[in-house]
Amino acid sequence: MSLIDFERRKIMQALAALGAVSIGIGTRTAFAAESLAATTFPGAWEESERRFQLPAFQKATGNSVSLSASQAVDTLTKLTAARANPPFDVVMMDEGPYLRGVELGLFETIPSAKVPNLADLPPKFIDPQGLGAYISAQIYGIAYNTERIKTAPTSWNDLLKPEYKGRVGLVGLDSTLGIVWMVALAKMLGGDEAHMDPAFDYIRKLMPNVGAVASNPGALGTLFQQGQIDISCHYINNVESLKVKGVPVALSKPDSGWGLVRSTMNIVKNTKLRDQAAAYINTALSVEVQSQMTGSPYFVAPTNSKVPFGSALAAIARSSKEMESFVQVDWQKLNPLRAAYIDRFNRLVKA
Amino acid sequence: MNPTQKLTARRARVRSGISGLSDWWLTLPLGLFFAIFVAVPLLLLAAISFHTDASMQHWGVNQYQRYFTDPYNRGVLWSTIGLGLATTAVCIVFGYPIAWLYTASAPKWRRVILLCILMPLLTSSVVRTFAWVVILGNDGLIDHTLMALGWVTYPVKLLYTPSAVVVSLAQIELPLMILPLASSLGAIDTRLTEASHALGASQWRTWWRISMPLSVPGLLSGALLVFTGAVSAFVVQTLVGGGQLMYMPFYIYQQAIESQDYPFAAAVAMILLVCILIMVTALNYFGRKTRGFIHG
Repeated sequence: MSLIDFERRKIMQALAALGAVSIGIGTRTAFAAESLAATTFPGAWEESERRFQLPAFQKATGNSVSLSASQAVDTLTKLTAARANPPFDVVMMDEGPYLRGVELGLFETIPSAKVPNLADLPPKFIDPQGLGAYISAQIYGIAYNTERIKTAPTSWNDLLKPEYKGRVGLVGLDSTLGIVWMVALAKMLGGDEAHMDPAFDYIRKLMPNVGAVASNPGALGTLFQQGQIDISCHYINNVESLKVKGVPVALSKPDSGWGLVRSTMNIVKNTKLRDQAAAYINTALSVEVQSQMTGSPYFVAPTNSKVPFGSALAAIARSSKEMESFVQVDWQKLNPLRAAYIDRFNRLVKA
Repeated sequence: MNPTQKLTARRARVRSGISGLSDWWLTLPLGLFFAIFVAVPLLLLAAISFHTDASMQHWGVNQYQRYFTDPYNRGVLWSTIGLGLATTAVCIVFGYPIAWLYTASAPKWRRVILLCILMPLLTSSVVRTFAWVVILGNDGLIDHTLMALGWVTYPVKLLYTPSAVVVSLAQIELPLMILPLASSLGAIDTRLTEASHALGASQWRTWWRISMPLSVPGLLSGALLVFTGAVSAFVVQTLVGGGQLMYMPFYIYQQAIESQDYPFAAAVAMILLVCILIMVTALNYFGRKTRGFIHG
């Protein structure tokens, strides 16, 4: 009997795997003929793209899109695995993975004649070789529980205060937020991407205050909700969406400046739908789509300088030009060193 | 050949159990599937793990050296195996009485108990994991109760601790322990226990000398399922364990996807695979031994 149970489980697993594989095959072949294959990030990103970007693209071009939610690092892996016949035509990337993609020669030059909206982007928001354009930005600062912390924190150094013992949240360096925050700390303390010792010293000093280390930024939100942590670095859109759910959180500006993480869109090399991919990027850069994305509950900062910073974003900047001064990361410098930093962080925070 | 002869020949074939080569063809689709989607990727994984550099140009065993010479890495392996063993132990302690209750109950109650056992399997493990996050959080059910009772003044840290991972994994894996146990307990001839009682043995002695040894095969297959499930439970380990507790599955993901160090990640995966295989072989060996002991 027990053996039968065991076998049955194995068969079920095999069937489930087969099912998963056939779903994967099905979606790509079903849409490959005419619609554009694009990626976005999972969660609120996917939701907002489906709501604003896809209808706008359809209106502008009459074409449909097959949108897949995929983390930038996963997208990178998928593109590397199938260079000759890429699974996507246009992809959304984080800065780090995007630069790795550039190094690997995965992207095609954006035909600027077909993307008129590029003209409205500050020059810093376009790849110097024209291999990608920044379509949005996320801003991070000090997120804190407004019920338990009455005076808004004003500096990353505030996290070291003894009163926050066991209440500070961290996020692993394998996430973009984790690593850019570490660089911001290093810069505040006199270091930079290549000299991170000050940041690691800061974390060592901070450890007695740390209540939890989240394995991804999404988990930070859960930790705030559960009262497990009361203060940490976090993105404005996550904080705003927690507020909507009734969680007493707010974001405050560190005296070393707001942090900025940008997302790009890139045309994949060897795509058969190059013009459509360009049109898709043009839509993503349009005033219409970008201003819709700034609203509740997404709060994605626009990169098009004609888009006003509305609602919660108005408190942070007036236009995308102003964002150029925010704390940013030189990913070119950081990428080759990142694996070593992840390793060092693992050991430092080990329970 | 007349019809009677044909029939006799067919009967002989069926009885002998070998009905020619043709039956083997039936296994071909699954065999091919297995070869392409399991065996080949596994070999590729092994091949990747024997490269010395992240760009995979040179061959060598130094990823394994790098793994085992570093106490941090060894610690990750031990804590993963420890997690598997602890979860299995908890599942045995909680699962055995329930399996016993199931086999001892009337058929009418058996259906109710079976439904209760299977209920958790009907919910996705992601949902169950989030439920545990809510239960174990500082604002969660347990800490609220403890504070309401006045037993503690400040919330006790439960989430993101090794015991939290063990408890939630045990809850999620429990049906996989109970089901094989119940079927092997149910298969025990009731006359054996009756004979034991008739010969003057106590309840406990009967259980210890008769029922328990006879249920060992079920116990072992349950342990196998729970152990392999627990050591590879990526979702529970990361959501309930957090970033400070490192287990092998997340380590593999981190090194492959985030650090882009495929050879090292492949080596970690191979080490986990070999460890699981060793455990499985050991359990199977014990299984055979106990069967021999019971029958011989």
